[in-house]
Amino acid sequence: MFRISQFKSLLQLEFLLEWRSRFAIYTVIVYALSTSYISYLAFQGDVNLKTWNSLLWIIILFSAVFAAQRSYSGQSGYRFYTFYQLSSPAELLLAKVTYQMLFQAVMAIFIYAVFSLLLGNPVASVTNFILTLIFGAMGFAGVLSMTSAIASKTDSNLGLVSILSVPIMLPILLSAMKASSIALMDADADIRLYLYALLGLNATIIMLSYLLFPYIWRE
Amino acid sequence: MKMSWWKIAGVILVIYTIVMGFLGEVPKLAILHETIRNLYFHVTMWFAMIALLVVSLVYSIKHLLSDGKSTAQAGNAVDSNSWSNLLLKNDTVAAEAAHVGMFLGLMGLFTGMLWAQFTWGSFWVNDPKLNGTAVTLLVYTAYFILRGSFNDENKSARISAVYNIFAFVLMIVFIGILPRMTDSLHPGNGGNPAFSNYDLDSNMRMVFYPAVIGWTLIGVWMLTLRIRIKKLENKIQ
Repeated sequence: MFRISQFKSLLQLEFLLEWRSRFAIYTVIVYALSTSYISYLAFQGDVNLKTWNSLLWIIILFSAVFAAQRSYSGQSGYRFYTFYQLSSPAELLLAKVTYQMLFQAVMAIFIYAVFSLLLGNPVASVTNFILTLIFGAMGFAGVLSMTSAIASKTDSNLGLVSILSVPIMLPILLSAMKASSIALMDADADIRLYLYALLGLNATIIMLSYLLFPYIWRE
Repeated sequence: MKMSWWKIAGVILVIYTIVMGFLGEVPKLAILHETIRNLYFHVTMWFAMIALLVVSLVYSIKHLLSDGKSTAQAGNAVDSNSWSNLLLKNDTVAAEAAHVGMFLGLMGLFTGMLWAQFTWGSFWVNDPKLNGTAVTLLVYTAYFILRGSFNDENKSARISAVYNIFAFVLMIVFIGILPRMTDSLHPGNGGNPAFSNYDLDSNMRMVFYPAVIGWTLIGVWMLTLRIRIKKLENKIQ
């Protein structure tokens, strides 16, 4: 059962909740800023392309993990029962995944901007690079919303999100890094193959989440 | 002890593999030399690992499909004799198959590392297949950690089954599809000819395929033993 109106209002609710507890957004932003600044200080402006690319992706990966840890944290107790009665798991999951994907994509572009400001912007093809960032971050968001849902059901979920998600985010990370390193060095290279691979991964993740989420959600 | 024909077959096939693997004729190839015999152990153990991980996956799916019914029957309470409860039976098989699969995976990894040292000059090289191995081991370690972090057995079984399915599919994408997009030192990738092109001659095939079946059967035997231990532990409690 999937109702568009339910999906819309759940998505709105996600934005609303995030806006009300702005400290959560600030946490991620400050995390991104401070890690970028640490890399700026550590490298003293002397950073080659490969290091630049790897650092950027590592920071994006961990800020994504960081941000995802709280996406189900408010989902216990009374609020859980309300959602449970009002909407189907599919609607809830798709609203969460959509929100997370948007959020992570924006965060990835933000981190890229901070990075360019501090460590310089060596990217040859900005369009390709930003497309890779968006698809990669969306993949992270997809895996993370599933694993953080899993972790939220455990009895001791400290740090469990990263343990569960990092190994399965590796395929996304490696193909995204490959695509972005091509976009870094070559202005008019064709990276469509990698973008399709990333899109395929994203589609697989969403399909799997759609099939499996009802089993997590049931209490 | 139950002596089944397939256990005997497994033992005979593995003995055959070991004897023929060390004494049989192998093609003389540059760089590889006699290390090519490792093919009977390294590659075949990985085949057996994949077989057991597929068993684990199938039982996880079975668990999720039967979950709703059994919970309704048991009235959501953990049965005193929970083995009769179909629910946890499937889950136990899935977990134990993952254990045995991981053991075979580690064996495959060690034999592979030795092989890499003597042919590529280093125990660990940056190669898509090795990264795949590392990811597989990490994923299943995470699976075991996840299993341990619940107080409620039924919940643990259900959520771990979800993670098992989710992780397995992405892992297969990682070890099956992505390596084909990049270069690899392994045969059959990135311009390296596949084994079948030049050296899996009929002699080697005669050992290789029995070895795959043999290791898989031994793996399944280990699995049944582990399940029996679990059953007994369950009875004692």
